[in-house]
Amino acid sequence: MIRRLAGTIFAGVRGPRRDMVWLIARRDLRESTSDARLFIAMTSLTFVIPVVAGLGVAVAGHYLGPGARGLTERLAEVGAFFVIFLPASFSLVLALESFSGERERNTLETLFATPLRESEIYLGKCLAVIIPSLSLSYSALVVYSLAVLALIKFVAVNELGPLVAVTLAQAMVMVAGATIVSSQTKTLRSANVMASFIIIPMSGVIQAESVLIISRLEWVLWAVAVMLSVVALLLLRLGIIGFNRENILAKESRAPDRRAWLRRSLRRLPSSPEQWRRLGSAMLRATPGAFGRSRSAIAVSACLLVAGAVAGAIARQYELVPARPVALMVATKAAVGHDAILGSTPFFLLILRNNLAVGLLMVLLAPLTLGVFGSMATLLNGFVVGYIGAVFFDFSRLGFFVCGIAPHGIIELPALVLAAAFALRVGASMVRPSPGGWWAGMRLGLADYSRGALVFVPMFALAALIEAYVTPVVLRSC
Amino acid sequence: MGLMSVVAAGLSKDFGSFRALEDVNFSVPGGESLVILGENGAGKTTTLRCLAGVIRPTRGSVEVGGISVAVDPEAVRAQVGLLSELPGLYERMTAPDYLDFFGRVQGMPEDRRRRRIGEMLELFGLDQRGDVWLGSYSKGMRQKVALIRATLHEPRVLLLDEPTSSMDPAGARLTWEYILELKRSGIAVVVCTHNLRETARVADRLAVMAGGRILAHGTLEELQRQLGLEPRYVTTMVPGLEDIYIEVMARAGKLSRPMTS
Repeated sequence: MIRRLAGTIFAGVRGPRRDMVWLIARRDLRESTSDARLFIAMTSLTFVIPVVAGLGVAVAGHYLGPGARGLTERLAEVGAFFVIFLPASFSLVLALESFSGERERNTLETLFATPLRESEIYLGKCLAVIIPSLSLSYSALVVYSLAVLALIKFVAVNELGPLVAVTLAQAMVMVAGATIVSSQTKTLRSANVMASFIIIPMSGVIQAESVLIISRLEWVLWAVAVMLSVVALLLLRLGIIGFNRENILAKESRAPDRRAWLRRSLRRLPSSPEQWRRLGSAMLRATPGAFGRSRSAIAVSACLLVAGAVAGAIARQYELVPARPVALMVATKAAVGHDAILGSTPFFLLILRNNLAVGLLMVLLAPLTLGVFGSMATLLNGFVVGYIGAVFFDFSRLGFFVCGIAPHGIIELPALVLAAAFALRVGASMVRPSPGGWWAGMRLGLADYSRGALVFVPMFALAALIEAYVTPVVLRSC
Repeated sequence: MGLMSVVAAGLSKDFGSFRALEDVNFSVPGGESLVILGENGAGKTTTLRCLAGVIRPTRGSVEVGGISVAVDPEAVRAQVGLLSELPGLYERMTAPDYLDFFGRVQGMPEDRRRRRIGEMLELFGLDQRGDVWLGSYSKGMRQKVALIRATLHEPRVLLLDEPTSSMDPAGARLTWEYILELKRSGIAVVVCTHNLRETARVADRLAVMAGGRILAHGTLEELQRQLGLEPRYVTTMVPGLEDIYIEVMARAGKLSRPMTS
């Protein structure tokens, strides 16, 4: 299975030779450990913070008293999460230094001039980054666990397994993300700036993980580890595609003048109604082609919607999600009904504005999130529909639910799938090889998004009209 | 060791909409050298990268010893030594460790690696600095280490981009002598440089590039004939600046090895 997985990740590129991978990894490891300041900072954080965190838990336990033993243990579990994540975050710094730093110092070109394969350089560097950060992470966990065991006689046994798995997946995501960022930038400085696109989504994931630990939903943490591993493998694949001599050295030879391109594009904007009419008809003619190019992305988005709905239903069935947020959402809807704005123009405009804002955010965030934001929005919408559907099913009111969703949902959900699919193509252009480079791919993706908007924006408008004026009437009769 | 030639036929390279090279043609047999002259952005570095199998031609072909860059770039890279304009050294490594790493990458056996590294460091006067990190080396010394790296595995084709741009006159003369020695041993050498004075010492053939095209190509005499220029012979009545400098350094015992010119 591992062989097949590796075959998929390295499809289309020459596979790595193990001895060369280790040669690169050893050299890079030596480089990262030869900087005394970095090494001291990393090791001291690894060993000092767990002891301090363990002491903090012990002091809190002492303050709370024996009656709050459960709370102290919960605190110890959260502490383990905090302690293991800090050293793992070094992987991002080390990866940026290893890829962008080498590129900036021209040492990467030196490696490129040897018989080494790109896959060997890439994997060697990834290993050299992951090995120290994970070693430090797991060492920190061991130190912390020993400290907590000695101080409060407790070990977070249930959390250890998922924590180890999720940390490995997180480190892989950060490293793979950093390699993609590095292949798109020429300097370490710009790579550091772009790294915020890895840090921000990861912060969200980490916050969600801390909630899961507090809620003692260890199995969801396992699921998060699996999901992050899939994301990491996907990013690794994208990183390997982007990490090639041709791609990296071409960027050094000639960077596109985007300002000149923007000036030229602005000059070419239509200035008369006739020119606008001609542009409109040209876009309409090109729309079927845009849909043809996006069929895989549309299929992916549709699958995500369905997967979200199934996950929502399962989450309800096994009560995996606290009911309060969903109840709050339903209550908000009810409040909207009490305000008697159903069936009014403001309600229609509110729905339309929300849907258009989501569609616009999908494409605006697509380059930064590689299109994942749009996909997550689709998944989440599917999840909410599945969850609420399951709730109504439990109360034998599925008919009522269908009346409330189907009239507008039958148009709104496909429109959402389309918007997410076109945004996904924009995001994918950042990392997928394209004949004219990523910039040409992104321009085509954006052009296709605007062609697709000719279809999904009217669908959003129609869905909002139905939701504002028709759905309330249907609901009353159900 | 058989002689190995480099042949570029109709070589063109595009980066997106930008044409970096257009219809470049030349061949360099083993034991001969080609010097490519041209301004910044003329396409010299891109030509070297294509010859080294680092990037692939968009059109046309490049063959090194009969192996096509498009078909087996890995085999081409194993036969070639490329010295890029910037040395690109690992600053937190010593010269022997750095060279050992690249020897391993090239698949050299350990005894040959050690012997070659020792010989080359001694030749370039760097053997006394074996325990110092490369980050503390001067620009010229770094360029020497990069040249050793490019020739360590005894390549059959040597591609050099401004090989002496940061070197002092003595280092530069030593480097050119070394390159001439390699050429005499049967290696095909391609050099890119702005330095016209150095060119005359090593060039069997010259190519003048601009805008990604070769404007003129041939031996010095052929080019003079093509352009209708009369050969000019300059007689130096007094020692040149370079000779003065090297003589002073030699008398002070500061040269790594005796100079012959």
